[in-house]
Amino acid sequence: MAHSRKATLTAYLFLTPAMVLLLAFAFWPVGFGSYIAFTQYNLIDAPVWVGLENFRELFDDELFIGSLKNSALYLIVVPVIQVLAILLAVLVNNNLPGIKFFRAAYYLPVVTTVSVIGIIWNFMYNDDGALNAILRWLHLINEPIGFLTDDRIALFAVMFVTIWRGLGWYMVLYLAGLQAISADVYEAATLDGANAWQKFWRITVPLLLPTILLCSIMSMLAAVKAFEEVQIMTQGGPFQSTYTALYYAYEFGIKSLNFGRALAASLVMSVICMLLAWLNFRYLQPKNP
Amino acid sequence: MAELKLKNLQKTYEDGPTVIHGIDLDIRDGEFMVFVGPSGCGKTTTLRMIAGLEDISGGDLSIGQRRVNDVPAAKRGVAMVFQSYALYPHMTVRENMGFGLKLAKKPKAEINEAVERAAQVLQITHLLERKPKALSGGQRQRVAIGRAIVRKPDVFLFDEPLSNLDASLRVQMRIELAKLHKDLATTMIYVTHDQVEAMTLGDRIAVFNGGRIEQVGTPLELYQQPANQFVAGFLGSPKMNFLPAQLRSGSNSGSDIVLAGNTSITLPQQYRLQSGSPITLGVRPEHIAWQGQAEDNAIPASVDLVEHLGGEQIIYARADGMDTQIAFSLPSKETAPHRGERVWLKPELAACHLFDAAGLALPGSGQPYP
Repeated sequence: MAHSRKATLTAYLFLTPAMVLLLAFAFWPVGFGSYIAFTQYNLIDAPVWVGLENFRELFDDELFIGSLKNSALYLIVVPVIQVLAILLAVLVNNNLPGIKFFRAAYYLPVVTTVSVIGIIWNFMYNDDGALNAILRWLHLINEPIGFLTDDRIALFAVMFVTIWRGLGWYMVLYLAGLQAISADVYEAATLDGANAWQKFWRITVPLLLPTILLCSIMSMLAAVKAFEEVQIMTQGGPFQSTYTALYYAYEFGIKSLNFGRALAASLVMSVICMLLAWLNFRYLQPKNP
Repeated sequence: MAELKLKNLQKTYEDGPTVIHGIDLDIRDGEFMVFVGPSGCGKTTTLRMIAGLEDISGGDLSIGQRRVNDVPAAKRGVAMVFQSYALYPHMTVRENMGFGLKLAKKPKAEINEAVERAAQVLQITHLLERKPKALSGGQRQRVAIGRAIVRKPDVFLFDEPLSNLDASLRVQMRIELAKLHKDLATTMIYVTHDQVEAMTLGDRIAVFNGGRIEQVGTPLELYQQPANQFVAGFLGSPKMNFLPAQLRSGSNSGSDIVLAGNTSITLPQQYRLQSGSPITLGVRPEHIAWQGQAEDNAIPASVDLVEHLGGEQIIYARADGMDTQIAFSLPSKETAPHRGERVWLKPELAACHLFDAAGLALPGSGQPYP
């Protein structure tokens, strides 16, 4: 018994550093932030309890509803990035000459800083930028397209950067998943008469399901929390067409010091994120034998 | 059912070495052929070429009357059981076994019937709705075999299928495989590095070494009349003893050979070799008797180690003037010499093998094989 108590104590001692860090930087901010969502707070005065007032104001605010819609629209990124990442991973999983260069090249955007990405894509999207120049050269357009200035397409232009930025990351995760599938299984399928498509659809995809689940949850959460691309490229414009829910929280919190409203918006996003994660687990988790 | 013909079959990897150097082999319809050899000898590569999982660099491969060099794997009429079983982890046993027929768009009822029949033969009916990770190694092996049976192939290919099983299960599965071959009467090719599996399962054995076939024959033929020192040393446990020697002279009554350490032995056969030619005397452990005093044709030695295996004892002795250790076996009920004891080892002369300097068996040596 004494031995067991000592073992338990030792285990807790080992857990302590991680627990302290979690408490300080995860649990406490979440708890405090949730409390602030029900108060009026501007960093200077003490928080004043206002109950559900922040949430009422939030859902009365058309900008927040619009930003929620934009965040929902942003979820288009999820299937697109997953499908592209899987195809890319299948492609770079081959032992073709120079394949390591391509693997590194696709991963490069992941390790590129946000400011550099902003400069690159502002240049690409400019009226006299690379994309418009190419489209003109191909005689597909006469007038330049305002990728970041036309409120009908700005959000999609920002979403494209998100896809470009994240593709390499998910490709690497899928590549790891692919390399965990035994080559024997594919050979057995070859002998069973499966063609390349059947092998992909009936062997690769089902065996990648755990990775697909992980990547889907990660990319959904990232999509709902999309912020950096908006911040560096459009600052929510034009005409607030690229306002996402997190950008809304940022504007009200950091810029307007209305932390109650900002954290109420964050809390709503957290609930949405949890719901999306649950949906993923519910429908994508492989069934047990 | 089909016979196979391998004619000058070769495999060279792109910008790499040649690993199969022209194999000629005829495998009869319904035969159980075993490919045996050490790791890296080319036996699995040859099997994979037959399966269609490796391209053939040269030569011809025929299954039945059809040249299949360029025929896709699925259309060769072969089914393979992999060393790792290669079951589809996300499918149930039923789905695993029926996958090939499903891809061939066979009716559901036909697939179910074929799966149930194979499951009955292999006694895995109760496992049909389970997934592979819920099965033991032996059960997975049965499923892998079942998946092959369901396809009703002309040729079964087994790539070291028992090597992941524990010793007792391996023996049991070996017996069941032999029975399965008898029941199905289909051509089977079986790759193993385990000589016991090779000897017990094969109608014939092909011994591979360095991308070539050293010898093809029935298990007893290979054991009693090995064509060369490699085959002689590969089959048998403990392996055959090889003692360096010189041929001294030939007479009408036999041949005198002198071993290192100056022990002379007179063999009953005559050999057409020049006097003084370097040779190797091969004697299997079960063909050596021991005694406590010197005698003609006996090799003086000192006992190094005695191993008790239950049914028999293996004794290792160091012969005078030789670096090699000589192993000999005795039934456990017989008295064995003690460690350090001085003994004289007497080979059974009619069962001795002689190999020339190139390692080839001299005609007339070895045990007579009917």
